[in-house]
Amino acid sequence: MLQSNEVEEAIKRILSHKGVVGLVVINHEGIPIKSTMENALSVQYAAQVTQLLDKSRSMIKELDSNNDLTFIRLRTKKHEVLVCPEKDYAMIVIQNPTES
Amino acid sequence: MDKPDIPVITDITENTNAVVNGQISSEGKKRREVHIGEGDTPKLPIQRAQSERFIDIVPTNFDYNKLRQEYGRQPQFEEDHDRIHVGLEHNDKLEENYEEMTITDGVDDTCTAQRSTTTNTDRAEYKSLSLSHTEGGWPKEINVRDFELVDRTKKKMQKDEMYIEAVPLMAKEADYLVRYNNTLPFYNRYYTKCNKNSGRDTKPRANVVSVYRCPYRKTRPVSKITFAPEGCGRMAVSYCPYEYDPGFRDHNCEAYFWEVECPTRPEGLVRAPAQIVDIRYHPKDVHNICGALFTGQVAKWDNRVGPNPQSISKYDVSHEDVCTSAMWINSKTGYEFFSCGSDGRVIWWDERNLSERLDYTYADPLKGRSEAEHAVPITVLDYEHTLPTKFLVGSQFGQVMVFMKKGKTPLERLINMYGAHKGPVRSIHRNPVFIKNFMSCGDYHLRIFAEDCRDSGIMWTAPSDALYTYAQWLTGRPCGLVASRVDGCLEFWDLLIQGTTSMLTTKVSAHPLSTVWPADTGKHVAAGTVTGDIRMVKLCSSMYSFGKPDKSALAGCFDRESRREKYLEQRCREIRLAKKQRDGKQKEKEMNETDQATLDQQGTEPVRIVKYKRPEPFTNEHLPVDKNFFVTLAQVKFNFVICFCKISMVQSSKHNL
Repeated sequence: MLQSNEVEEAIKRILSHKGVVGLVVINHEGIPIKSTMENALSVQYAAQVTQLLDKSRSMIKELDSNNDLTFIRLRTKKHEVLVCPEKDYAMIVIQNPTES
Repeated sequence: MDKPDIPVITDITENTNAVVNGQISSEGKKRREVHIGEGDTPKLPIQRAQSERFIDIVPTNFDYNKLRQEYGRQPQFEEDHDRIHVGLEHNDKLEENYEEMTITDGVDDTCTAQRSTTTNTDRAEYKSLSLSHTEGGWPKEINVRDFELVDRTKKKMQKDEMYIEAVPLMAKEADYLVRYNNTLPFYNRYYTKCNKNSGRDTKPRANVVSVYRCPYRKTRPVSKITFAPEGCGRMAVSYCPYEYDPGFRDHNCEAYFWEVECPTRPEGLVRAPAQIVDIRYHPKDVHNICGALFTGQVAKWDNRVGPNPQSISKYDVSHEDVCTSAMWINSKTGYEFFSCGSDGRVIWWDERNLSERLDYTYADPLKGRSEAEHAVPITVLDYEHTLPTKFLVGSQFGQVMVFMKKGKTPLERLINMYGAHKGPVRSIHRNPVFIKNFMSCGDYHLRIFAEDCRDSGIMWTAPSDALYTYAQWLTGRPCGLVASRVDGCLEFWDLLIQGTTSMLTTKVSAHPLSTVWPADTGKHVAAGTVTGDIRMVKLCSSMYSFGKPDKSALAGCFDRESRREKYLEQRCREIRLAKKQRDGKQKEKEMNETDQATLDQQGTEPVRIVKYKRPEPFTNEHLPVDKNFFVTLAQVKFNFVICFCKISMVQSSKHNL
């Protein structure tokens, strides 16, 4: 189907970028629907990110109800975790940013 | 007696008010009783406060009984008209006693009075638990373990319209960010190379980071702390009172093992029939432990097996007095250890058979003689594994003795004796890097010795404010010493930074410290108090870093001091020799003069005490007697006098303490 192709294409495009380690798409319940990493790891990521998303979203809404979360960027020692929430789903991308 | 009606109530406050205001009247002589809600259940079920419910369950009945006649007479108040009771007249004469002060000193403060104190929060007890993560969120019907089912559900979810809509949007956002990251180094570490030179200008600090409290309520002083070898992060602590205590049997005869990370409770313990004075890990095996007991016996434990000792030495072969220290030795079998005690004996044991001794010797301060009657009680022992042939002994009377482990006869064992301190030697340790130098601690001084200098120490500290109880070289920094004092302070000395005073003196505890030992990591120091606490003190980086230039500087320092000492020794010897020769010549003429030349313990100039000078004997020079006859007789007498006073000096030092 054309639509599912779009989905696949979008994901492939992200994966093609330099430094991207993995990608997980989760739903509002925290179930990893699509993942490029092994199951156990993606489940862990899903579980942790869902909590983080909920917490940050509630924080922003509380401070200003007109505001909303657009994305979360978590820079760690080893890599960077990007979380983009959208409606009921969220996309988690793990990337090793290049250091010039 | 009619019970007053207790109304049905909704509010607890109303209830108490009714009771209190109610029934005390002053009429009649009947007993009045006051009731508080005795089990009267309300007729209607109403919302009741928690406390009310409690009153229902537990009947509370307070009977205040007092006869009316006991109340006493009612106070009668009456109005009293104005009456002057005392009148003070104005007295002008008194004014002469006072003078008006035109200038006064006053202190003003514009800021609020404040005081800075440090407080400690309540000790938080930590327990480590693990959390079990299980996968969730799946709809009820699906068994998570069933991979096929899970896959199918996932695929179904992927067909969801919302999903298909949402993913490209998310992807667009993510894409932007990813590309952003790739082009721009967003987070960069700047100035990484600049902060390396922190410099030694910062003041040395030592802070207490944790307190390990003895779980046993009756407090006993910590007698020894040792750290496990191979950096396991464990320490063994033994508790023992200093002297025999009549409440001996009530004391807990246990030594605890603590995990350094976990200060709330000890990890394990070992038990013994008597107090454990000293406890040591085997340097190669963390589970093999030897210990010295208060009764003079030594014991051996295996940590894995249980808290009771695997074997204890028998009474007849052990020390006759308290066994003060026990240490493992380097041996081919790896099973040997030795112990020292207050009876003056040093005994070697094989751990497999503690019913007999391998070897023993007496700590006799006089060289060439090793006898039980003259042995001095030993308080500390030191053995360095890199130098297995020699060991050090510190005695109750302040003598530090260097022994050779294997002598052909016991008489040859003592290499050297220093009269180091004026009280019991509390600790004695070789420098971990320069093993020829060792340090001893006792009374108010710390002394450093070099083996080559036989008469005295090469360096010593000025007398401190409080008695030292223990001292040890810092593991991270071999030029540093840490010493514990009776006033609860830890003193840090550093030979390279400040030779004259202590680098840092911090008060670590309100109670006297009984022992101290630096951790094997070098970053911490454990100090034990007389109440049974151990305080872990964290050191600042300047106290555990030791670089190459420091090593050569320390070598130079020791070298310099020992050379200075050697020159002094040489000079002393020359002076003594010259004096002897002069005396020898004098002796020819004055045979009957009795001089006692006593040598000062530090090896300085001999002090001559002339006791009684008999009148010169009649000597006729013209008498045809061989000149040599007079000389030899004088020499013999002189030698006899010297020997006699040496022996009497040893005797007197023993009797003094």
